[in-house]
Amino acid sequence: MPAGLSGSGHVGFAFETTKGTYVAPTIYVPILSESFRYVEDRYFSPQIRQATEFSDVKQGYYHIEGTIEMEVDVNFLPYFLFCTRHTPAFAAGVYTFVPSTAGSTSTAASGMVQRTASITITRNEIARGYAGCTCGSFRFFVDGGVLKVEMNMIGESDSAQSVPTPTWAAPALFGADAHYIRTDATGTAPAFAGSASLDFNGFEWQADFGAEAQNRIVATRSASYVSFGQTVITMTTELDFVDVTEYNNFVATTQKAIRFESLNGGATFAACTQGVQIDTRRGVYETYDLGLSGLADLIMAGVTMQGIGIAAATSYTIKVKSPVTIT
Amino acid sequence: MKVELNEPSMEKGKELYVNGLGSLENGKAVEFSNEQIEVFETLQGRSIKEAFASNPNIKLSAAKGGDD
Repeated sequence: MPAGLSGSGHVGFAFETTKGTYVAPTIYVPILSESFRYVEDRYFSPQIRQATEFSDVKQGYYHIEGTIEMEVDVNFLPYFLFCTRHTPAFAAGVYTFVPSTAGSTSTAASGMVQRTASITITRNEIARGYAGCTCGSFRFFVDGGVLKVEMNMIGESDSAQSVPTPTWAAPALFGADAHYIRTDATGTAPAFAGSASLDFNGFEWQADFGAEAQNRIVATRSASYVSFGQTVITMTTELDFVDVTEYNNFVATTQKAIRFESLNGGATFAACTQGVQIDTRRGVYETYDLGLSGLADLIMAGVTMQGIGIAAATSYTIKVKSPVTIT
Repeated sequence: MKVELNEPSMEKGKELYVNGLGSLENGKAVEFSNEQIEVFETLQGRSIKEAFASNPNIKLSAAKGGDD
């Protein structure tokens, strides 16, 4: 086979009905890059036998890990969010994902529950099927004005598969005129009634569930499941340094609610036809870094915020208005 | 030959494109000529039945006139 180009590749997705049991794809997801790899704890025998090299090798436990980066498209985003540590819900065309305290991956044939996926990646007309996949962390970010997401995936196993034939939907992206950031006082149900903020230079929102592949003593080398640990919510941006208000908020650990929205087909989430809305109810500055970095540089603060828990509500909510029907 | 796509999670009527074949409409059977199928099979290097064998949401059937 001649050398292949990445552009000829494709990524297929299917929910699993039994966790870790491969399912051929029926959905094909346009991506920007992927880096799925086989990670093995290979055993090299250090027997002492009149030699100073390892004397044998045995295959060890393995799992799959890697990233998928893609432009956010609500035709595909909900599938992946079902494979995160969230409790999903669906009403009136809107998927809502709130954080759960699940300790590990699970799946089901149907229902508003956390799922696992089989992901089939074809590279140079050679297909690998990755089963038991979950999204251990993900990061939304605006790049070139377009909302993108990078997902760190962990899978249980891989296998050779026949090359599937993709079906492609037309792209539906969120461009530079789609994004809004609003802030409000922290609370269980902030209204975000004010005007959209003009202060944010870039925005990243990350959820990290502390996912790790777990291998147990069974007669197979693949991972038994993927565990979750602490959830860490991080927001990153730059703010113009025009007064000391936010610096004082940083020092005082003042908390605030932050809403990020990307909307197509309407200026509000209720009116839009496609949308992503991320509400962080209790964000607090973790860093607020200032400096005079160069003669012609704007004076800006490099900022990270953490989303922390709030009584009587979830710390954050992700809503996706999407035409897909996941039952 | 008719190619029918029924992907339950996508809206009915949504248009999906198959490289080398053309557009399908979710929930509807689309008829392709022998020439179109030949181009697709040449690009794929396998028969259309083999190409869609792993996708339970795609059904192939003979078009009127039986050119399957």
